[in-house]
Amino acid sequence: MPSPCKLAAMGMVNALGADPDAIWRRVLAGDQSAFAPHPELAAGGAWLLGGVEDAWLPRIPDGLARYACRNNAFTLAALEQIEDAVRDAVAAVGPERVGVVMGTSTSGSGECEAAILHETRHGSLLPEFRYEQLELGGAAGFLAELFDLRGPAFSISTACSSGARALASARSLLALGLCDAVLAGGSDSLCGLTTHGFASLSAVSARITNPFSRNRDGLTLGEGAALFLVTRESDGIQLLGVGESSEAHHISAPDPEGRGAAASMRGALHDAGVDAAQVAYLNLHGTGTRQNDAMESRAVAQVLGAEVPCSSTKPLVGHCLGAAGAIELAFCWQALRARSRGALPLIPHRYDGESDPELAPIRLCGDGEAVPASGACLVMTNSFGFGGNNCTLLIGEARA
Amino acid sequence: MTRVVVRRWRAWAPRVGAGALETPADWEAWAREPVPLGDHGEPEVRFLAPPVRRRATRLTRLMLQAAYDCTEEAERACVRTVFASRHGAIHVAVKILAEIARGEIVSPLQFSHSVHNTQAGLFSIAAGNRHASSSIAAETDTFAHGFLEALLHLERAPSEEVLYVIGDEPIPGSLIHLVDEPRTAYAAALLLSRSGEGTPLGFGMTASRAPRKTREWPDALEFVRFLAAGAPELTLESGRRCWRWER
Repeated sequence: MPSPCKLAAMGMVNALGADPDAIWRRVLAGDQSAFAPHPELAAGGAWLLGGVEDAWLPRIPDGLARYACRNNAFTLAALEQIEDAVRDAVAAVGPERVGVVMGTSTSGSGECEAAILHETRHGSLLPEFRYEQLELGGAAGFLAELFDLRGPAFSISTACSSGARALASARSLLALGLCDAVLAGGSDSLCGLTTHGFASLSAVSARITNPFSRNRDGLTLGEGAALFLVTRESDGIQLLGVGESSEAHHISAPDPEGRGAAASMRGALHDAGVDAAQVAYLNLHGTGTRQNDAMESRAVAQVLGAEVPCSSTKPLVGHCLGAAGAIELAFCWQALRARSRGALPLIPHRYDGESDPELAPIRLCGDGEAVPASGACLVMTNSFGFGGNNCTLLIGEARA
Repeated sequence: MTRVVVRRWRAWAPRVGAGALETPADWEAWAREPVPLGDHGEPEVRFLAPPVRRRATRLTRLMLQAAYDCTEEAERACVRTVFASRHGAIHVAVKILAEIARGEIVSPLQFSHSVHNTQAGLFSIAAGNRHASSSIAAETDTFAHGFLEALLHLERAPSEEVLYVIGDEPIPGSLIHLVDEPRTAYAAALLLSRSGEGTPLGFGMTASRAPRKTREWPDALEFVRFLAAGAPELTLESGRRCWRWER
């Protein structure tokens, strides 16, 4: 049985806001009103994006100006929601026993863009630009500096599975005895590199993403952060299983058979020592691209069967890329916390309702549903990244 | 201390002028008498299919050459992998950003080679490897954190082997003035496990407040020097923490 790994506190920010309780109410209501066009980012397209409002973001402290970027402002917004718990944990175990693992694919790429635009036009980078703003490792380094932590602090960047993978490493840091608490999550901000890049792949839908529909035609990009305080206590909501695999298929497309996705989900079940029948809800990767949904439905039907309730939350907040795994785990964590009278509330799957007869059968959640969830109640989330990098997490209440 | 066995290691770096350090014997000679390393040149990666080789960036060539040199064919498909790079695909990203700044169209191929896990993905495809893989970065302290991430994989899968690959090259254009580090292009690969034949090491990390000194060599090559020279221990002060390896 895996060693204790408590997801003790969670903070987050995304297109639905910067208040976890308000976000959860909108998620449970299937609220799709957060999307808006952002012409400055949309690579010339009229796309809808799940953007975070600047007004929600705190200022990076002056002493840490070298880490000032939108990405770290997301992290700080999430952190401020759990700051008391984090400060208590740091005081209890000492700064040398606290680690940081952050998933990100962009870090300060947006700020680098501004610096390079300046160089293209004026012959030199913006004078205030610092490499720490840009580099991927800065996503973790920022938090280590903020609390003057002396434990390990690193970033994981495996595209869209980065945020999930950060939690896997956090659990192993506790198990290996190197840390007694870890700040782990993901943060990713929209920038020209990602919007232009996904445009070049023709992967973006002109409307709000429509996963698992016969009419699905691509993803909707989003941004945000989710941050967990992870501790070695054995009560509360625990990270029980981690599954990981590589596709060995194609740099930007999944194996159509879904073998990598199935291996990832099986790995999480095996790691937790449970079987598929115990999974009460699956948060799908569910990007809304033709390829992802075809292979994911196949893998889900194969591993979990056609009866496990599933939904994708990307039609609510967009695909938050390097932060997606952490944000979607945060929704799963909130669902477990919202259990009442033995029932687990299910997040509705928003799409046009036109199921695709060519997809393997899976059960998509409708409005206002709940499932009986007495005793062991397990919730799973899938993250599949570019480059063929898959990670599945399984969480649940501590088992007696 | 955590116990780990270095089953095999390889590294690749250009010499100044022409040629490269690529065999353990080259590195043993270098460990006895370090000579400056170059920042030009790249390995041949003959094992890659020609279309893949043509598209491979220099960082891909560096990291995949070290990865292949360090593993036998049967191992390649069944190890877990950890790839680490401070700067990753920065050359590709800067090129794309300059294209965007000039109002040009981004190529899908360029974009798919701009993610930090490009080398991990290409290795998985070339070697037919379907196992767990992560790609990390940790500012000036990337080498030791990548080593740690490899140990975290061994924690999750104690009976498996982990191939740890690290590589970097001098960063492009005017960005280079923003960092203080050796301007070397290199890659190193370590095949790690909890038991078996090889060099057994103890690994530990402690909190530290000692200032980080400017390095003559990248941390990864300090580690290669430690292995090649048969030294009893290696200590790397990173400014926040102190890493230690002991024979």
